[in-house]
Amino acid sequence: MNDRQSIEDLLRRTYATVVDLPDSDVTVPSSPDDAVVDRVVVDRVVEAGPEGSARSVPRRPRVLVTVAVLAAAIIAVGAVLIGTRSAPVNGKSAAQRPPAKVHPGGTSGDSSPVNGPDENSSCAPTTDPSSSGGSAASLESSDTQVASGTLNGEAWSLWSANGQSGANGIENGGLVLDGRDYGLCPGYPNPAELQLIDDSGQAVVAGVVGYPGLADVALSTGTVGTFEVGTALPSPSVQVVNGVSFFIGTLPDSPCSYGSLEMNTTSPAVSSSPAVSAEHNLGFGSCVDNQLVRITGSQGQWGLPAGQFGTTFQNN
Amino acid sequence: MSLGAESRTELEALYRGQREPMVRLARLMTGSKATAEEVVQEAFVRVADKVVAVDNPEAYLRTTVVNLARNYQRRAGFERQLPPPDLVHSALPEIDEMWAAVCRLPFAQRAVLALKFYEDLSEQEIARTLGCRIGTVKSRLHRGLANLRKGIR
Repeated sequence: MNDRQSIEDLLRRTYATVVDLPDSDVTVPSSPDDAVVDRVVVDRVVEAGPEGSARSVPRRPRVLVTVAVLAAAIIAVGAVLIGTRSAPVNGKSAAQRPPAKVHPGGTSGDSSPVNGPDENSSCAPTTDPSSSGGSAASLESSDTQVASGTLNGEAWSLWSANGQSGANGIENGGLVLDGRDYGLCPGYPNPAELQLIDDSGQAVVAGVVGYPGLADVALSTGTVGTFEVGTALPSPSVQVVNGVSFFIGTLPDSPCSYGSLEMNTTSPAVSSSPAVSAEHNLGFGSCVDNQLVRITGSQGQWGLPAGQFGTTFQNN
Repeated sequence: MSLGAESRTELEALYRGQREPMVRLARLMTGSKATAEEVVQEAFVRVADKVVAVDNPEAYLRTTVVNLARNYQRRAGFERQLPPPDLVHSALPEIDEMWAAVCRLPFAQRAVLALKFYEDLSEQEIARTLGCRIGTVKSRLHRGLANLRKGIR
């Protein structure tokens, strides 16, 4: 056996061994139950994301004629399923939950709904915490202001990148607080994103929920690597900008004291899109005056049936 | 509504037959079972309304899994968003060493090796799955094996 063969054989044996190793932390169901398949269908409807890029696989001719009808039928089924599954949430339906607080000093821009989170959001460039908090002159000269307000006596304004819409526009634009540009793209472009700012010792949170409509945004302390909800924190002010939700608020303690935050959001049913929830757990590193607090850990679940937040994060 | 029922039946069949194999494949590409499960769940979401619209749903699903695994890899590069690769203790040191070497490979090489030596796909099938040329597949195979050879010595 030559060297190449021995490497290939060892690789095959490694693959066979690794995939068969038991993993007590992760459950792999051997067959789907109705709930699992329901979830797949429901997620497909609420996410409305781009296709996988298997474009080289040809479609059957008959489906070229019927695919639109099929999509409509699945959406209808999904809507029925969601309506059934999400009605009671902690004793209240989504419609019965109190409306999200809107920033009293804020002004919103275009409130037209979009069709769902923009999974193609480039969220670029990602804001580097070490260069955040600088002059806003460049942002203000190149982008369009879409909202503004005050927070603890400090003026803030929100800017959308020219030629871009929805969450993409404001994530690629930025947030100016007290004359400093903090961007609005602290990490990967997730459907529900949050950034923590050390505003001269005051903890400020801001972010975007990329689903259409006015979201309910609940914040709490968290535990990195889990979706555990800790101590409830003050709700930020939320408003619809570019058809999605932008939020901003303060936290009671020093920005250096929040090792992890948990964000649970629920966005309303809009047009043919059902209400949808998302949860995002973030870990934060050391803080520097007038800069973003660096994100050190992040995981989220998107496109959840309204109010059905998971409490466990599967980790190996 | 009958078309919806047909789609649902085919989706169930695809899920029943392909979920576990796809989780295994995604695990070999991402290095993490937790990530693999997320990737495959998202892949089924993506193919749900196309399951009756493609000639080969299994191939379509596999391509979607590979693409999503690649996306997760990029995401991990942004902000360490994913759990670390599984630690494997197989009681065979050479297996552990090889797995560690596999996890250090660039994603493109890891994907080609998994499709070749786990899925037993031909180079042509791999090229079709990854959307690249056969020459690229051969190059990545060669480099991947060379890197493994260096990595376990």
